Amino acid sequence: MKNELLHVFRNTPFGRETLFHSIYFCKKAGMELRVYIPKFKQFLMYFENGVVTVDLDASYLTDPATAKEHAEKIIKDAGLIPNFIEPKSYTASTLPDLPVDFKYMTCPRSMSDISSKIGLGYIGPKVRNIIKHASFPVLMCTPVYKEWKNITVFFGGSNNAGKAVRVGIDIGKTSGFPVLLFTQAEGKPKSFYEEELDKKGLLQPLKDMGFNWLFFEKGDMKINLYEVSHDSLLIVGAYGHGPIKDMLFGSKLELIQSYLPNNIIVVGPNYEPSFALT
Amino acid sequence: MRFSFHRIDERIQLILIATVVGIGGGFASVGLNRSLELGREFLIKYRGDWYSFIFPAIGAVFSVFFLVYIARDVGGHGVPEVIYSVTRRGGLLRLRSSFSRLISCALTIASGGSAGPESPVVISGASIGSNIACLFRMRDRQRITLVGAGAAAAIASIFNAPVAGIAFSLEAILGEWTATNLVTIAVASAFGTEVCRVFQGNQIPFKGGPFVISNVDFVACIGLSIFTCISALILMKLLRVVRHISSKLISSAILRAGCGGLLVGLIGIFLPDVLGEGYESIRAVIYGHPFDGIMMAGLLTLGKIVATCLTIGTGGMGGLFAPCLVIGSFLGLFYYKILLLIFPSVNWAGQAYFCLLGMAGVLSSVLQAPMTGIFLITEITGGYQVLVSVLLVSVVSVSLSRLVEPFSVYHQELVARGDLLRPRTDRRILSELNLVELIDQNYYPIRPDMRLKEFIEIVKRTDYDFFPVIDPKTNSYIGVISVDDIRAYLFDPHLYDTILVEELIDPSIPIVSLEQELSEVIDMFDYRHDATLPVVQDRRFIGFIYKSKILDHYRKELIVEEEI
Amino acid sequence: MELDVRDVAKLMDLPEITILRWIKQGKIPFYLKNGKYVIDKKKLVSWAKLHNIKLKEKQEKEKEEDELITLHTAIERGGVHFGLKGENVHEVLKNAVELLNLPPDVNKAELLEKLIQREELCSTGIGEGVAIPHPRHTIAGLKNMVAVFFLEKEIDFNSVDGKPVFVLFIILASSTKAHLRILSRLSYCLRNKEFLKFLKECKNASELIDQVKKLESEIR
Repeated sequence: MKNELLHVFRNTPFGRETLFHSIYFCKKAGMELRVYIPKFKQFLMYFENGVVTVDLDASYLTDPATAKEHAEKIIKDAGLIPNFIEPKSYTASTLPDLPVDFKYMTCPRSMSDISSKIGLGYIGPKVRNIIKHASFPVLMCTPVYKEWKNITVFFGGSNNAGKAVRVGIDIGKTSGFPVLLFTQAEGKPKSFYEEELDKKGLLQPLKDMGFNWLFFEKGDMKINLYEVSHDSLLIVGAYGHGPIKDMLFGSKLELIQSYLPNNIIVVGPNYEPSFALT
Repeated sequence: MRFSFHRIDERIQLILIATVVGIGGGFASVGLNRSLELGREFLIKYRGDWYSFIFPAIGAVFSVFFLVYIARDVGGHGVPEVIYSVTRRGGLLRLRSSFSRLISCALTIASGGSAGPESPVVISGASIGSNIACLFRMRDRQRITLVGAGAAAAIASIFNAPVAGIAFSLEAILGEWTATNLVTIAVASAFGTEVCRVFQGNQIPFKGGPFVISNVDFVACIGLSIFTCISALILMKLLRVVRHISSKLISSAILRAGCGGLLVGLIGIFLPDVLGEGYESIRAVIYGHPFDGIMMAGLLTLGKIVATCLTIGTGGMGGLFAPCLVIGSFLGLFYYKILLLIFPSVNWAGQAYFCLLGMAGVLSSVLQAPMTGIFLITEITGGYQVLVSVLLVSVVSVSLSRLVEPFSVYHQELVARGDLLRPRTDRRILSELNLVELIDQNYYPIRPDMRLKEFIEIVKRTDYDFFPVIDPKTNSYIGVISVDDIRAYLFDPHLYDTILVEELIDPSIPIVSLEQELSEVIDMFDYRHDATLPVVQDRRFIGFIYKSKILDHYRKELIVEEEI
Repeated sequence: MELDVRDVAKLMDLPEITILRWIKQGKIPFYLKNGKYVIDKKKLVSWAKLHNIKLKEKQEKEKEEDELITLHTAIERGGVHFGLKGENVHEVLKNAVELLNLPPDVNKAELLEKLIQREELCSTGIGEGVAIPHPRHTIAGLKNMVAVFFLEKEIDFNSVDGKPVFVLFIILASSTKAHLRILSRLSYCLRNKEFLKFLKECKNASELIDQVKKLESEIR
């Protein structure tokens, strides 16, 4: 019901790039931007089955006097209306609770200020924790602002991948950007994947949009990933069929996030597309 | 058919999980007890040395350092957090809470800080309960019960007092006595106690008696309850004052705790009995240690109150249970000595007797939980003989202190924030109902530049009473028109073509946003006597909220809440 | 302060019978005084606070001017002018605005612009030679008033019935509420055939106001 994207603002040049990403995403996907400017080192998000504590590092609290001003200016310059979140409830006096009824949330790959950890192949533990519990997909963006011009959804047949496709269709519809499907077949024919899509009621909408399918029956997925265009927004389900679902995400996601430097939307296991009314 | 845990009857599920939670809670308190003993043994060698007064300060500094920088948790003894989670967050608690305060508290108390190990154990137990519930994918209601179970197990196991654990959990944490609650919590409490007995033996911590209780003693109880009430009030007031002043004077949490610890250490030079959780002192009083005179007893009572406020009020980690008991026992001693002085010829029931009653009175008043006080004292002293007197002192003391302080230490903070929502109360139900559930999305949007004539045509065709006016270009909300508003023009056909819809909008109609709580929305209804309000989020119209629908929903919610 | 059952019922916006039942059931603090139920105000306030009940502290606030404004006072305030010059809608409005007696902080240019905006959206000529120009959206600082302008010569106002307009009732209101109230009263008067006839021959301001007063007195 609320078409909103949550952005936690970091008052640093790095945080500025992330905010640009959020603004671009909001414009393209038809979202309203909601910005939280942290005043404490932690905040809590109460999801349905678990509470996530987000420990922010000191860089998030850089110069709180200018934080709001900076964020406001960036947002206004982009032609949006600044809309900040003031936490309404507190678990303890220095522990605000953030609402969780958003459609998306933007996160850097790591919520830490250790600069060596913003590279490929690393997703910080807090971000992982958010993805695991969140009822919304998480947008992890590149360190430097880069616009995306098309959407690539990774589809391996699983339920989660189906949710990812749905997100892709949604964003594709509002943004008007072409949607591509990427599938690395694991010994199964193309018709199997088509059937899976059809069962989930996704094949027809995709066809209506005139989608392209990067379908690889052979070869190494690593090598095939080169076919994904550089200015594509990737949408991936956090888990596929793999058995280990706790600390690590699915092997495909780990592979993708360590090979492709693009912006990625990760659809977590607790995301329910039907949950959001329009 | 494959066996599935979730197919078992809900009550059995809860009991099974409660055993796990009970054992977990039991281990948490055994762990804390053991580490306190270790710490005490290690430090006892140095107790007499001149520099020992600095121990509480060092302990407090380490304790806060650990809590803030290593466990990354927040201060406070944690019980309000548990209650908040139970009332507003479906019993969700963070995993780190299950250990952070335990370790922090061990550091504070072992070094001599005047605090009790119970509150940290409560949040640990509660957090264990909550996280186990999440593991088993329990829903909010069951999770809340398991949080209560964890808290009960922790209290039961740290005092070897199963019934007190149940009473505490129901009275202070959950706030309602229902059949499901009781069974689950009792199971956890029993298992928690059992864990404690396996590791530490079934000992009664403060064995007193036997007593010869006469009618005079019974009458004297009432006098004691006035004393206990007053000292409980002083404790609560002073705690607030110290917290307020210290946070204003010193901004660094570590430094603040250190200063508090230093002051406690200085008091400890003169009154060593006020240091630590103080169970030794209670034993001393119960076993008839004479202490020196009335003045000393009074001084000890005051000293313990001040030391406790300095420890906890400055951010040291620990609870109020144990200090209350110590204060109560000193107070009982003090009162007993006064009695001896005034009525030397009466054959009083003895020092231990009044000590027990003092503990019950102070504890009940501070926690505003008479049942907890009564059961705890009878269980930890094995003195069912004194049950009647304990009952009397607890109840009188609670009733008196309630006149001044209507809420317990655990609830004050939540009440101030408006977050104390007891089950089955109006506010609780309103907080649980989500605004989104009440929104009616059937509406007919109209354009602002529509003429009255067209609008009246729409009114004829539809059966709505309210129409949102929406800008066709930006899709944003402009206002609301009700059929009532146009009544005056209905019979003026020659105005039909000259009045525009936008001229009919009443700008004073407030809008509801999705972020508002239902209670705020109801206040809006009451204040304006409107029966319908528009819901607007991000300038987009979402739907209407009807006052009449709220009542309907409210009643259904109330019915679902009922437990049969 | 002592309150009786009626006062409490008023404060709580409930019927007296409910308060009496609460007293009977012991739900509300009270005591007996000379055989009557009396409730201490202080106690009631703290009791209400504890139960999260809002008391209506003040009596119904007095109706504001916007809810009481009458057409004839509005016309007295706005004035009646004869022989307004102008060839078309634009000119007529421009001349009229210049003659208006407005508070100093009202921007006349803005007012004119908004009047024209409104005409462009949809003519305010309501037929029978009458037009009721008013600004689109209210303007800050306006007082409730109706200025009457008799035109020097009839002009085409693009009215609903196509007839040329000879009189303008410029409605300026401080709020939507007042605007709608004035509008509905004016519309009531204009529905009266006698009044329309009178308007066509009207030469005197006080006569007009008297006529309006007489007609208005028929409205509840």
